[in-house]
Amino acid sequence: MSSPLEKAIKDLNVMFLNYCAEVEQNVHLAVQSFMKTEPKNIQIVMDKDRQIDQLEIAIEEECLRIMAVYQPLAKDLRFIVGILKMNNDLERIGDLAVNIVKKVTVFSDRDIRLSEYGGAFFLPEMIQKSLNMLKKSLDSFTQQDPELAREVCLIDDEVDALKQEMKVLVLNKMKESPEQISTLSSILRNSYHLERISDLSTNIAEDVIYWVDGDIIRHGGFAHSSS
Amino acid sequence: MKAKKLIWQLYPSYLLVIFIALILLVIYSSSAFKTFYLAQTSNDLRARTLLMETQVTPYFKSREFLKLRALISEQGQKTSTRFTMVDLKGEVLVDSDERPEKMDNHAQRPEIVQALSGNWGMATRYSRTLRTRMLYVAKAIQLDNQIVGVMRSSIPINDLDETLNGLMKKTILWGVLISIFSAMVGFFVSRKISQPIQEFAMGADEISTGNFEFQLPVPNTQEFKQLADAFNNMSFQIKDRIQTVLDHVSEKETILSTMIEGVITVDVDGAITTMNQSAKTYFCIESDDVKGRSVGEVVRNTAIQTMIHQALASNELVQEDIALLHPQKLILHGHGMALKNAKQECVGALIVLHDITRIKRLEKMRQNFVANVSHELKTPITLIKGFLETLFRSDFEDKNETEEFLTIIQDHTIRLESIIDDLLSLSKIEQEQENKWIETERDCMNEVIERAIVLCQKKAHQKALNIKFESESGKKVMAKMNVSLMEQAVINLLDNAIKYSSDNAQIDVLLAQSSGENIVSVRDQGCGISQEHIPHLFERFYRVDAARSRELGGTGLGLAIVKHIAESHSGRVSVTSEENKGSQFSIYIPMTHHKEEKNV
Repeated sequence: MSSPLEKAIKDLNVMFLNYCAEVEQNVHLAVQSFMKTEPKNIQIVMDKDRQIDQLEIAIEEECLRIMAVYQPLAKDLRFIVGILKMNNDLERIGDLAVNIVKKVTVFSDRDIRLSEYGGAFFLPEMIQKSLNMLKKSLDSFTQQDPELAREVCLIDDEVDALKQEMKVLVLNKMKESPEQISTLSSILRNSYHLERISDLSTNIAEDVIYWVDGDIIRHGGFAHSSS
Repeated sequence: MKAKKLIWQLYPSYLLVIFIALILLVIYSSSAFKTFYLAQTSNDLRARTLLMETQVTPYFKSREFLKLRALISEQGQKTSTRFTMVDLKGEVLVDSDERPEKMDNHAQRPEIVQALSGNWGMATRYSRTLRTRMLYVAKAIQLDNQIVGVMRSSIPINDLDETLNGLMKKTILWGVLISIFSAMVGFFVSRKISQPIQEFAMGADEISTGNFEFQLPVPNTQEFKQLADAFNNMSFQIKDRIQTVLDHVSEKETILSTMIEGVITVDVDGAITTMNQSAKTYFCIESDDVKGRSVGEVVRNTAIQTMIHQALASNELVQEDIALLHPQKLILHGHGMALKNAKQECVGALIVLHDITRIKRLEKMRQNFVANVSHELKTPITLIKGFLETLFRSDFEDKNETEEFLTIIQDHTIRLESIIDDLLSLSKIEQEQENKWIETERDCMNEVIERAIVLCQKKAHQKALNIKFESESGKKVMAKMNVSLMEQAVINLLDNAIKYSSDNAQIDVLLAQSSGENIVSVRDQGCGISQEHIPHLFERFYRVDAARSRELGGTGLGLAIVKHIAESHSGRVSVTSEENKGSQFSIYIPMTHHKEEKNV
């Protein structure tokens, strides 16, 4: 026995899970294409991103429709608000995937492979960490597990630190060999993109905590007293 | 509504039946008693009336009423009967208990009326004169066949009422006693009926909680005995069936969990009903609690979800290759099929996933191999052809040039030969390995290694390298092996080490024993190999740096041959390397050969 609201929320959940999967897969494809310099994947990633944008609009409209028709309360309302926010964040992550994969051309045009290029600085570690954050934040959503979400918020600092260290190293390398500036800057830019992905994953994790516990932990836990 | 206990349903009906029976009995017996008593008493009174009539008639005739009164009073007192004489008009002439002047006219009294009509008159009535219930009997007095008055005798019947009351009280007393007794009997009877029923209920409870061992005690009532037998039989049958079902389930689960293929079943809503271990491993799912959750929640992969939707929607077998990028890189081949129930309705879908990553990789390797072989053979041949053409065109005039060209052609022919030699030896080893047959003999490993070092010494001298051999145990190590193959393996490793070492470096060859294996290691101090190449190093024609390898005269097959030689000795190879510090290649040959030989 499920009410129309429950049914609508269940359908929205299925829709959103599918959207999450699309975004996550696209990010993985983009990152791997960049690391292995596979220009044939650029178009695939970009096409997928267009689909993701369509899904984003569909989800937003569905959220608004549910709010208008059923006027949900408490956890249901938080769920829909959470979905609306995560929806935005995931769409941004999808755009970042496109930005990352576009940098493949910088290497493929010069007929070099990043793997043969003599190291990608901390890029592999950053990829591993930020994609893990994305995975965990989405897992915390599917498993409704605020503990997992809190773990995600902790890894964010590690990615920030890696980005800072990497920036110093890449800038030094640029000074040493100015002829490599375009490739080096694409590596640096992608490290920034990855850092953004980890930030957005943190946002998603915070939204999960808000949805499950009703706590707003953004900006140092401002609204703890309200719980 | 709260269910009543059986005893409270039985007992009131018992009580009701007993009470109705008692009341009917009392009513019947009291009326019968009353009728009998009145008949007796009236007969008695009639007799007295007749006796009195004979005594009274003479006085009546002579009209001596004073004497008559004395007689009646005397007789009345003696027999405790009241006698009254009434004339035709109903006026009281004489009465044994009362003065006649004080009494009313008796003409309307029913017994008098009856008596005047010539019959016996009889009535029971409350006498206001004596303030008690009386039975009256009256008879006409006849003188010369002429009715002249009525002789009435009466007797109080208080006794009757008292007797009847007493009877009623006793009946009620007995009624109460009987109802107490019947309550007890009812209690026992209903308990005797309800006890087996309670036991059945308890048994049914036991079975519903899963205790199929439970057997009901068999009661000695025939109907209950049948029921209990049926019940016990049923519990036995259920236990048997459930055991069969459980066996099936555990068999199915064992089959599922030991399957290499990943199996996922979902219901019509896309919620997971089964997911076996392999499927969980493919998607790196750690939690055991996946049942009932939707596929989208558990497996964040759109291809799987699409496949499930297709399988649910169609009657056909759905097939698709799914490339997973995360959480691990896998290529899966999925079969999807809708599950139908007996009515041919779709109740879910079954997805079977095969891991074809290895097959795909081998396919790719084979393609690469053909391409590589052609490429490797083509390069020297193109060069040879080119130089030959130049030579023909130059008509061999310039002797120096001709010599130079011929040297180049010779070099490339040698190169071609070495590639083909390597390919041949590789295929030979492969064949032998496949047939599990290589010629082995027991020999000293130290000697084999030393011979290989001597053969490589020339090349080493050119780069001023120092090859140092050390045996860990310091003793000679005997092993069963194919000496020439083993020698070639060590030469190949040394050859690589020499090629990639810088001048004046040192190469260490170490012979060691560890956990039942002889280990031959060659360590150089060269440029090292980055981690990403290590898994592919032993593949044919795999080169870290193709140009450099060719320059150094490598065929790209050396390490592949080493690996095959090790494998044909049931051994294995390994490599550890650090960039810019050097690499160490090791061959592990198990010692079992040696032991087997000893036993024989």
